[in-house]
Amino acid sequence: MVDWHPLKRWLFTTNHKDVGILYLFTSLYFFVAAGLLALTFRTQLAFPSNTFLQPDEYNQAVTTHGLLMLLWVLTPLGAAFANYFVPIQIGARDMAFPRLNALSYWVYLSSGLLALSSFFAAGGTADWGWTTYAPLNTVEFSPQVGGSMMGLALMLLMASSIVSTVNFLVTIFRLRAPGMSLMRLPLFTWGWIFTSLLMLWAFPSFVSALSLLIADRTFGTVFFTSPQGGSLLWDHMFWFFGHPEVYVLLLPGFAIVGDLFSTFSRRPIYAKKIVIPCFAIASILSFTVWAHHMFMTGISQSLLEAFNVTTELISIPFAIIVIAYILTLRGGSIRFTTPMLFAVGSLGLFIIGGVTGVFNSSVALDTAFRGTFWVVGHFHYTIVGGGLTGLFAGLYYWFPKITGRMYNERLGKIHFAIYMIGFNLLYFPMHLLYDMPRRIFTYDASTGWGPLNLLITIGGFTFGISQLIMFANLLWSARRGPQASQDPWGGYSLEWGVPSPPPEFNFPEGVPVVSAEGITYRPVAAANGGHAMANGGHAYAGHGVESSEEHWSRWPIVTAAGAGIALWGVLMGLPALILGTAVLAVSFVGWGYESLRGRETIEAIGEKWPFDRLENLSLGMWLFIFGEIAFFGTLFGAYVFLRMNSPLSGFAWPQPGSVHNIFWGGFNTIILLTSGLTMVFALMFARQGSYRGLQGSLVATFALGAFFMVNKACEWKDLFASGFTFSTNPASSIYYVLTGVHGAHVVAGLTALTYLMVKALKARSTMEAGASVEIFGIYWGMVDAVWVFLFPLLYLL
Amino acid sequence: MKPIYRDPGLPGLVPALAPSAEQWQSLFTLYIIAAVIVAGAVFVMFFYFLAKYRKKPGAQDPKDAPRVGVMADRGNPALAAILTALLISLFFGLTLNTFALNAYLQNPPNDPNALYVDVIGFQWGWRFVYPNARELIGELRVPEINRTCTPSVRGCWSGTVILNITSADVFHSFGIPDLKIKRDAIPGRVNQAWFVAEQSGIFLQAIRCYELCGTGHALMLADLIVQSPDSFHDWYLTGV
Repeated sequence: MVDWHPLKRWLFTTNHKDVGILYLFTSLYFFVAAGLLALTFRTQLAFPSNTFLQPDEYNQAVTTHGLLMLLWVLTPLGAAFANYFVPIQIGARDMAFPRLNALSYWVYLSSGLLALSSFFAAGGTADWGWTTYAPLNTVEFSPQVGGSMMGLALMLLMASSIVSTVNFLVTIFRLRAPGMSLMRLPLFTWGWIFTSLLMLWAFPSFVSALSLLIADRTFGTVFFTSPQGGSLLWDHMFWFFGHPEVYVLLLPGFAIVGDLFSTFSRRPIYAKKIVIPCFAIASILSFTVWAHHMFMTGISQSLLEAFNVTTELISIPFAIIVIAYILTLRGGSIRFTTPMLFAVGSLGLFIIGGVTGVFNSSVALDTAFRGTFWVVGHFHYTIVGGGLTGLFAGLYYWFPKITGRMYNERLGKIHFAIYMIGFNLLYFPMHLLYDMPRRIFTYDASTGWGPLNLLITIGGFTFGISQLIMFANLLWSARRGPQASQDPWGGYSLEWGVPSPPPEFNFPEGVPVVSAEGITYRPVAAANGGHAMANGGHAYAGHGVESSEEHWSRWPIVTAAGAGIALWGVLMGLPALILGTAVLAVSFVGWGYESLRGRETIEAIGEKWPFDRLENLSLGMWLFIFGEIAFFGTLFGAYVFLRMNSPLSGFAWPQPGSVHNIFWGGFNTIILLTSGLTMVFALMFARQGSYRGLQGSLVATFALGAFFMVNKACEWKDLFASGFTFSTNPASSIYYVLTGVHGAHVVAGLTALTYLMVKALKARSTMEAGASVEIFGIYWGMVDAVWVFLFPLLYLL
Repeated sequence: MKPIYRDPGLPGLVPALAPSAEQWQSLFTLYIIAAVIVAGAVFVMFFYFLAKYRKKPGAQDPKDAPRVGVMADRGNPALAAILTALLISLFFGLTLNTFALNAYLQNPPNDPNALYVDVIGFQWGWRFVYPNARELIGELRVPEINRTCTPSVRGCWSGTVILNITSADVFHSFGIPDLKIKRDAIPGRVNQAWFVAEQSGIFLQAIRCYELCGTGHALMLADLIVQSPDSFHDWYLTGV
């Protein structure tokens, strides 16, 4: 490792392994915070009519526990391992976009601090449960500013995850070592591919739900306060995100369990070629089951029965994977060291959680289970049992690789024993409380729920205390543990072929080349087409040299801080907003001054199928647009929902032409489409090498885009003057949100365009700008395409 | 009448108060049997393998043990197909039973002697409005089943209770766990649930809210009072 000052290393690093360690510490910090919150409300529930917590404190603790554990603990803990090991497992030197990777981490931290700080805002934080049901989440019923702050923190976190997702998918699809075909990837990397795809599709739809919520809470729109939208609009939008989110939490840990079963039983994974498609099928099906959270809402019974069936179907791929994992053990020679114990425990607990899940799929049985501790027990068995226990298995498994030292095996086994006892004491009795509503802060002794609740609380403290053994073990062993060998377990993924801890660019002996016989390392110079590198030859990259000197950037942390402060300022006052925005602006300029190639893209020379023909940046942009489709798609869904509900609830949707001026709308459409055309010219000129043509068409695109926005602003002003405001009715609310977020996309595009123009101006050549123009062109095309849907929807229909 | 508190009891052990609860219990039992058989078989196989294939002292690795960069291909895809077929047939059976119960729960009988009650959830309590505009808060009075009151007889209470459930403010969920009846109370929507109670009595705090609705969620309780048809009718007319 380079001899950097520790502050420089940990604040400015863009090394995927350092970023992974940052993720690890931060997610475990939030784990402790969210766990302590759980102990407070378990203390409250230990006895009937207890007064340890006030009702509002209880609700805040429950809400924050859920949100932190789901979004700031489990996924980031998976991301910690993914950051550290996915690049090594695929045979890459780093992520495709190391700076963006660091940015994802810092934005994650910033969003977490924003979420925690909402606790200290006047009136406390969100207190509506992690599901944030409408209309309890509106200002009328939950006026506290901390609730909005939690909403903004969630949006910021989603942004971090979406960036990270794009980065991982580009990395995994484009940077694999020679011979590392997709089917050769370890299960953990596969699990992370599906986790990323789920996040890429589900998280943007959560962002759109949150956008509507924030709009309601800060601008007075009426999505969740009107009967046209209301409870069910939130339910659909939330659970469309919420159910895939469950698999986001489960898959990383569940995939680790498969790799560990193979490694510790010394047998190849049984039917890996079936297991991977099962992951895919489960991921796809996860988008078709959301209404099983809505069985009691009184919506169409035939629809609900269809969701009953899809929910049963999703258990089939999981059952196949579980059986494949178990068959992996057959004929093996199983070593029961701590990682394997946790893997075995994880699978056992997940089987129980999976079986109770089949009960929950029943639309009729749900008349008893909905909103009770049965559900709480079920999902803790799947998410904590299957997800977190699997990740803890991974923590012990990879600990020697990360630290170069071995943890204490005896303490690990003691941790496992107490963990399992605590877990089952904590979550199993919940199934027996299938009459007790969840999230109640108190109950009467006459209910008879007291003894089981006491047992649950004792289990909770046992479970919590068992984690202290792990923390003590790992912290002590990281400094004093015995030296670990390169491959203490006999693992099959590539990280076990490099030293512990791995050197900065992972593969000291050269490019790993994977074949059926095993792994060989090709010397760097040969891999680079015979060109030996002058400065020590780290690179096997197509472009430039990624040296340690360029393996850092000071801007990710600055951007994240600016974003956090600005969002805090949105609610807490103008000075913070201005400061945050200024910091953001400075950081953007800073990003612009850093060379794009050296720090931003790492190219590999190995397997790129199925995206051989796309550049990393273009693939990244296409994946981002995939997420945008989910974002706008969910908003369009909200529009359709509002509109279809209008006649039922006695609201007459405005006739076309009665509110919006079709002529000006159409005129604006032509303006925007023309700007798409000038962008095509820009790309053409860039390819031909015509500097003047490029500059001219970029300026034309900018002018047209700016004109579109001016026109839009005039329309908004006139509509406001005529009394058609944010809060007039659902039609006005959705109009302003749809055109507003589209406008924000145009403004973001104009900002990027300015950057391109400056760049072209400075370079006075088209070479440098060519790739950027193409990527921007994809984005601008998307912005145009969205408007092509928006215009008829808002003006003509 | 002596107030009755209900013990939560274990699944299957609670004496049923109503046909809805009886049918729910038998469906639940069916699922439990299926779950115990399937999960039991899986766990037996799992633990058997764990015990049988644990590392013996001095044992060598299997020949196809994975090593860095190499993972042999193995496994029989037909197994996945067999497993899928087995699970689908199991789910088919379970689902038919689920749909039958759902049809029962979702479709109140066409009973001219049914009692209709409007249920309005609010922060934090339940208001019950009867057809003659009599109103109760925190207490739902219903007649117990009267088997002589068939649809052809007029002017009697059959014991069928049809609830039209809504909310005055936020999202609540109306549940009577003893009867295994539940339906969300959503502002702007009316959801229906129905039941017949077979046992008279005062069931304290038998009605609860099952969706977090603010600081009073835990206290959003109501009593269920099941009376003989005659005494219910007296109350219905006079309010005492």
